[in-house]
Amino acid sequence: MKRCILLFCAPLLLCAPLLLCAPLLLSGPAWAHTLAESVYPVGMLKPTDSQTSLKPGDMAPDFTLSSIKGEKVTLSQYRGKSNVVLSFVPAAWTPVCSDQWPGYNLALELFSQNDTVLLGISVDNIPSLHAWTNAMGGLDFPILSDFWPHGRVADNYGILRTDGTAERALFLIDKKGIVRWLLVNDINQRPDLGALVNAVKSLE
Amino acid sequence: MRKSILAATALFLILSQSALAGGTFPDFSIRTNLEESDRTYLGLTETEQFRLSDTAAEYLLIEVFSMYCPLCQKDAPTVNVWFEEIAAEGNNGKIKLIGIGAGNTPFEVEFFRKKFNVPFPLIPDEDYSMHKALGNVGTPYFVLVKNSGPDNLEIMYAREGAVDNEATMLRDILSKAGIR
Repeated sequence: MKRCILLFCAPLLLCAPLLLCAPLLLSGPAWAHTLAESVYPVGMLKPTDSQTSLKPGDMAPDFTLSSIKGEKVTLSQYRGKSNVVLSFVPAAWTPVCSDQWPGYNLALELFSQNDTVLLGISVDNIPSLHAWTNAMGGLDFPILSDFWPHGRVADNYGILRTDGTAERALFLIDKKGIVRWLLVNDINQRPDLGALVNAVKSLE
Repeated sequence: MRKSILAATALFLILSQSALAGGTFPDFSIRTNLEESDRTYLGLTETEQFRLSDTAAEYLLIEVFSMYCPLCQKDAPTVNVWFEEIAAEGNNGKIKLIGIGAGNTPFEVEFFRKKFNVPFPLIPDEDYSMHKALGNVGTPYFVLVKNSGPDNLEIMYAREGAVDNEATMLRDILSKAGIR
């Protein structure tokens, strides 16, 4: 079973082999302490809690969301220019998410080399996303807030869970705005970067 | 309830640390596709499977890392410098380095290797089995073990968390291996 780390999540070990946490950082820069100590251990969750009707070949629902940099980002602005990967994560300050995006940040070249931009989306509000992103050491791709109307974009993509968080989901959208590949992952696990990159590379 | 959780946490921390400090490191049996250069470095003859004790190393410096861990990303250049400095010490390859990618797929480990030009072998631990056997240590986790044969890997040095003083850490590691 894919689990992430961390001793500070020890209390939850009582509840099961459940914890997917950010690394335990006994030492290191101040922000690292903040991240490790601030991640909220959510325990083992229902792997998926929604049913998307989107499938490869469908038009991706357009949206406009605000980024933590204060910009408005519209999916269709990339039409004819770039492929787009949407990375939905369940919520800020939770396990798995808190290392998934830093990993993608390291691998941004794998997207850009294939004419693809990465957009991170969470249902959290901008102040929370701002603080969380800083705690992760900063991220070099747009982080978008799907906070209000709450989770509307996640809902339009069919991945809003019943508790108001989003699934851990990936959508690859081509330059025509068509969904070419998608993955609604087990929320408790991190999807393999290789599968995503292979999908990106497979686009003409 | 809160007290019991705190007590359980403390107990877990004590147990997890005692299982590592001054103890024996698991002599993992590793099935992976090592490159020729990595096999040569580790002095291995088997091509697909080996145990840590099979390596032609008197000491192994093992880093448990993750491609997704920001601190591991940040420390990667430092560990590369350690590799060079340890190699420069000579001692007929007394210390060999090896990385274990906790929860990382082969693709993710390979990406990390290329990204940072990591000059020593990196092993995927995709299902976290090795990581779990180590008590779910936080990453990065550095451990120096003395290789005295099968199932006899004595932990000489262990440190969990980011590198704070790279010179001091390397000096401590070399000292524990009887170098310098």
